Amino acid sequence: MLHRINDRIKGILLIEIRGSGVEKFLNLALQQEIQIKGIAWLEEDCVRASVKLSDIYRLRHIARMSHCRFHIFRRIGLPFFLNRIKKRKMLGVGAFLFCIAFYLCGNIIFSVEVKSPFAVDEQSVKKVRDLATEMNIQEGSMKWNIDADAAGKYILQKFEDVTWVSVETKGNKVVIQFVKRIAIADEDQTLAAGNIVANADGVIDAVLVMKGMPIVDEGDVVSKGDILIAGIDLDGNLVAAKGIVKAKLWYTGYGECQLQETGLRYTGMETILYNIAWQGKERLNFATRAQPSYQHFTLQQESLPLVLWRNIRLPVELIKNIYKEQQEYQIVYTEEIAWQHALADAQLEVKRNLPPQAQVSDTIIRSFGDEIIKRAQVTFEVIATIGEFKQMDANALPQIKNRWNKLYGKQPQQ
Amino acid sequence: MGVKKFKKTMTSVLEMPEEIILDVMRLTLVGNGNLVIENHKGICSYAEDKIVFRNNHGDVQIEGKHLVLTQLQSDELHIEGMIEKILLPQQER
Repeated sequence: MLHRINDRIKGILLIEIRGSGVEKFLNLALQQEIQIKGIAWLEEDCVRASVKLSDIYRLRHIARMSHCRFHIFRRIGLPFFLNRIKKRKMLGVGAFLFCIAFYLCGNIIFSVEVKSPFAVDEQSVKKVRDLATEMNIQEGSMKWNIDADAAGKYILQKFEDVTWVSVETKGNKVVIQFVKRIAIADEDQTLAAGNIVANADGVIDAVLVMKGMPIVDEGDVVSKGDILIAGIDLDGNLVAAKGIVKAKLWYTGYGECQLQETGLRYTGMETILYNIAWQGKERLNFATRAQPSYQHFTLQQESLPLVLWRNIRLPVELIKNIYKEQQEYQIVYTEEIAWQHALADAQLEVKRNLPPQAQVSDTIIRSFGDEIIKRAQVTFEVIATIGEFKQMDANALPQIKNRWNKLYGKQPQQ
Repeated sequence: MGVKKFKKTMTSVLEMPEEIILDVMRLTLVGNGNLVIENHKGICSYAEDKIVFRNNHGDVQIEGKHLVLTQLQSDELHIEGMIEKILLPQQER
C-alpha cells in the first residue's frame, strides 16, 4: 500500500516494449536494479510494463543493448498532475479558492440557539441573546472571533438573574444554555390558613407544633381526616398550621401456602404459526406446520399489519400465533416449609403497604390453618407521620372551636 | 564429504533457512493464482501462457493462462494468473 502511494507520488510510466529480446531487456533491467512491475504479455515480442519515472532514462541504454524499443503510452502520478496544473493555471486557482471557501464556510456561525433546561420567558432569552451579540456571538461571526468563556462570564455579570451559563460551539452553531435564579417565596406567606389533619387511623404518639394549636394529645385515638393541629394561634387568628404528628399505626398482611401445590407452568417450548387476515374477517392459514399437539398451552396472538409506506396499509394483515407449551406440576411441601412460605407472603404484603420512613415498633404473628393449607397473619405496629396540611374548611370551624375551648378554656375571638 | 553436502548437513543441524545458505530458489504458491519466486537468476522467456526463468540448478517452467509478472526484482519475482503447471529442473539430493 505504502509502495503504491510512494510510486504515485514519484510518478509511474506505463510502457510498451517491443522487440525480439524482451527477455534480455528485462534481465538487463534486473541487473541494473530497475524495478519493473505489471509485466503483461500483449503479443509476440511485445509486453506492457510499468516503471518509475526516475528509471526511464536508464532504460534507454538497456533498450539499445537488447535491440528493443519502448514507448510510453500513459503517465500516472503527482509530477504529471502538477505538470497538467501548470498548464491549466485557473484550475489550480479554482481548487485553492475552493479550499479557502470551504474553510471559511466551516468557520462562519450560521445560527445562535439560546435555550434553558427549564421554562423561561421570552424576555430573558432575548436579553441573553443581546448580551451574546455584544460579545460578537451572532449569525455571520467567525468562529475565531468568539471567546466562549469570556462571553459566559459577561452574560453572568450583566444579567444578575442568571445563575449558570454555558456557551458552546457545535459546528456552525453556537448553543447558549442558561439557568435563571428562582426566587423562593416564604412558604408561610403563600399558604392560606389551614390545619394539619390525619391521613390514617391511629393512636397519637408524639405531637410537635411549630404553628397553630394542637387539639390532640399523646394516646388519643384519631381517624383519617381528624384535625390534629388547628390553624388558630393563641390570639384566635387563623393561620397555616405547621408541625409534625406521629402516631402508632397497624398494618396487617395475610399469606397462605398449600402443602400440596399443583398447577401449570411453561416448558419453554413454543410454536409460531402465521395466518393471514383479510379485512379483519377471513383467516387463511398458510402455515406449513399443523397446530401443535400440546396438551396444555397458552395462545398469544400478535397482529402485524403490512404497511406499504407511511400510513398506507394493505387490507391484509399477518397474524402471528404463538403457542406456548405448559405442563402440570405438583410440589409437596413439609409443614415447616409451607409455614415459611405463608409467613414470607404475609410479610411481603405488609411491607408493600407500609408508609415511607415508618419505624416498626412491634410485630405480631398469628399462625392458623389445617393439614391442607398453612395460613399466616402478620401485623406490624409502626410509628409514622400521619399529619398533612389541609386548607381550612368553613364547616370544620365549629368543631375546631369546641375542641380548642375544651383544651384552653376560652372561646377563640374569630 | 563434499562442500555442498557439508553445507546441507550443517543447515539441517542448525535449522537455518536452506534457501539462504544453499542459494536455492523458494517458491510460494497461493492458490493457483499467485506465485512468488525468490532467489531466481533471470528470465529465459516470457509469454502469456509460459514463463521460463533460470535457477542455480536449471530452468524452471511455469505454465498457465494470462500470466503477468506483477513484480520483477533482482531477487524476487511475482507471477499472477491461472497457474496450471510448474516444471522443476532435475536436482541431485
